[in-house]
Amino acid sequence: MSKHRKTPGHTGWLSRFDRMSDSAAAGVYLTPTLILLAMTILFPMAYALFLSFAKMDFVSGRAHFTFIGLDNYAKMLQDLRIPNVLLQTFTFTAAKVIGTLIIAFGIALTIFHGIWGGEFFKKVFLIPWALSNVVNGLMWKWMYNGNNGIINELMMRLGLIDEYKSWLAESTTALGAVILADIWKSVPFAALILLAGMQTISKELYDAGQVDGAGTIQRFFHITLPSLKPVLMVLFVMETMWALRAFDLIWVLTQGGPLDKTMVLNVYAYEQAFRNFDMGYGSALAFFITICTLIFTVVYLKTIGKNE
Amino acid sequence: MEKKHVKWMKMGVIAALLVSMLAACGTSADKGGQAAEGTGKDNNENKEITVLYLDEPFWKQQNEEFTAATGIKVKYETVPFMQLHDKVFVSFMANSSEYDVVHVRDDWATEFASKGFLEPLDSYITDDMKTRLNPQTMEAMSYQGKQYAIPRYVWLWQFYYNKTLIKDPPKTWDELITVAKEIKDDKVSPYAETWGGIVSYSSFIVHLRSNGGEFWDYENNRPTFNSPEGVAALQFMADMNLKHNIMSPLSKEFTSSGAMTEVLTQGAIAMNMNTPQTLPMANDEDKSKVVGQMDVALIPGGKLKTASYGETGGLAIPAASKNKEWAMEYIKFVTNADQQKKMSLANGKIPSDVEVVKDADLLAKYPHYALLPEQMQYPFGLFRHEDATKITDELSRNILAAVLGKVTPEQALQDAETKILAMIGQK
Repeated sequence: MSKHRKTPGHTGWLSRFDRMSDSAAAGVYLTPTLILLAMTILFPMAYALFLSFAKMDFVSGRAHFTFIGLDNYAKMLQDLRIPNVLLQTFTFTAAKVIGTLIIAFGIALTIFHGIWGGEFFKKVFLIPWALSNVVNGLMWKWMYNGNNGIINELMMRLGLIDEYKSWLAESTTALGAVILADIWKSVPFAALILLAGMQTISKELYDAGQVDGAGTIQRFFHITLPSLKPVLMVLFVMETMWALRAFDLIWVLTQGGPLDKTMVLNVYAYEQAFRNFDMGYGSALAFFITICTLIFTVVYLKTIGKNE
Repeated sequence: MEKKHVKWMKMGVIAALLVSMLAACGTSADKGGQAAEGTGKDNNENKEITVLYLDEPFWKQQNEEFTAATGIKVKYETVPFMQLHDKVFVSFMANSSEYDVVHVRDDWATEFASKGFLEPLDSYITDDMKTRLNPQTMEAMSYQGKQYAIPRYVWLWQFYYNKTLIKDPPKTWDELITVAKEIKDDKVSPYAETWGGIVSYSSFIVHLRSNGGEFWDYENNRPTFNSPEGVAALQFMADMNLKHNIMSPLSKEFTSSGAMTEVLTQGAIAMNMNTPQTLPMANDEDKSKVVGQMDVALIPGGKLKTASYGETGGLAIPAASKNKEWAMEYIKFVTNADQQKKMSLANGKIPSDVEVVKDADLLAKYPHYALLPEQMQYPFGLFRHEDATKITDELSRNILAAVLGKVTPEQALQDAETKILAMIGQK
């Protein structure tokens, strides 16, 4: 049976449209969306890629581009700040991902076993995740304030510190403070995904384990953890991708300071592009981050594929 | 046979596309019509400019007065000051004509003008402006002999101290150490400066100038801060923090003078160099714990009697603006003597108009204005360069490392100089 179906009565272009196959019609319907996507995603990406191979100068307010090949990428190898930036990016990513997964796992377990929880708690628990990074950053900035921040007050009352500290301005504490603020926001989503994963584990497995004499810890390591491995893998990859792309929270809290102690790749790319006017180098850095993220995306997609 | 509803869906899509195309044409035609009418009748009601600056009541009120006086509407967009530079820059990068008037300070005027982002304003400047506006502030808004912005205020640092704790303000930086050590109140930090983020270079410039040093050799386009005077200045800053222990620990957290003032108004800082907002905020009975306790003096000196740091705030017209004439009308209005006085009374900003700054009403409201003429005889301008932001960011990172004791002052300035020379393509 032909996919083309002619409806009598129509002539001209309307008739041609009428005779379209369903797949061609679907193409027509999708065209506006595809054009929009191309304008908002593909064009900026292509432009940024072009910029990463170019040097940008301004003459009479107009940008002039000179093609310089891989010079912007080669500059990364010579940039003395890059080793520190990579170290901070790695530290931030590793601490954020590991911290988020451990805390989320703990919380999901306590809810799963009914130690605390309930529908109300599950909803309230999502609030940090629903907050925008900028709002989250401003909130933590106030809490860390060295003059009247609540964290200083609490720690003083608990006897943990002798005097108020400038958590975000001390080179020894700034990165930790930023990571904590990010983990606080990331944990709810991870915990809910893990909780959903736990709820799919068959109760019979636990019953069988119990009959075989397995204790709580053994059941955790031999039933819960292996059953959640696919979910953990997906979360690990997603959290890593998000951590590599972190920008707004860090920008609000420290702008990469003090002494570059919170300077991760994304913040550095922004600084180079928009404060130092070096759009080419900033774009090259941004593409480096994109490549790193893409690697994790491939891993993520393969993980999903295996799960299916 | 094709289902009827699929056919109607296809028809619907075509109809929607046609309607949106026609609607777009209609909008365009309407706008064009309005524009033509507005131009033809020279009707100010159809004139509108877009201005970008801060979300503060006075500026909005000023816009309303401008519209009432000229009929030109003002679309006012606001942004926090710390984000102003980047927002304007992004707009320039896109060659956007969305803004007709933007705020610039000394260093931004140079940065933006050097890249051709700003419209030269020489042809608009009147003789009245030339005589009224402080020549130092006019110079601060120029680049390579051309005027790129009109100054409307100076945000000059003065020395503020708590007179209940300090009888005689220090006249030199060495005296400041002595005075600071005599303060016995454990809850008060004797002294504070803004060292946070990427602003520590500003305090360094004051100490450098006090020592008789220069920040930059403009003729040869080279940094000159790595000099005996510079090393002594940075050593002094590090000593205040690490040796004499007189600095507020919050100094490394302060990324703006406003943040420092807020702590000062809580009675936690005895002395600091700060902007003109300090006294009004300190005397705000609703918020301050030091009402009537703060006084003002010349900033301590060394080789020079005093030196300061302060930005000139001005208004510029982007080269891409399509409403330059109306934008200039706006700039002339908001920089006139009457508006400068209103501005100063409302928010304490020091007028760029040399006569307004001596106005009796202002002196009655702001006693610290009495010291301004002498303070402004000594160096105070911002560092101006095509790559000012990049240069001062780099220097600030090194200065912070030195005052925190991570590197020696000599090493910090040497590293900064090397990197900055590389940035500007010099050896």
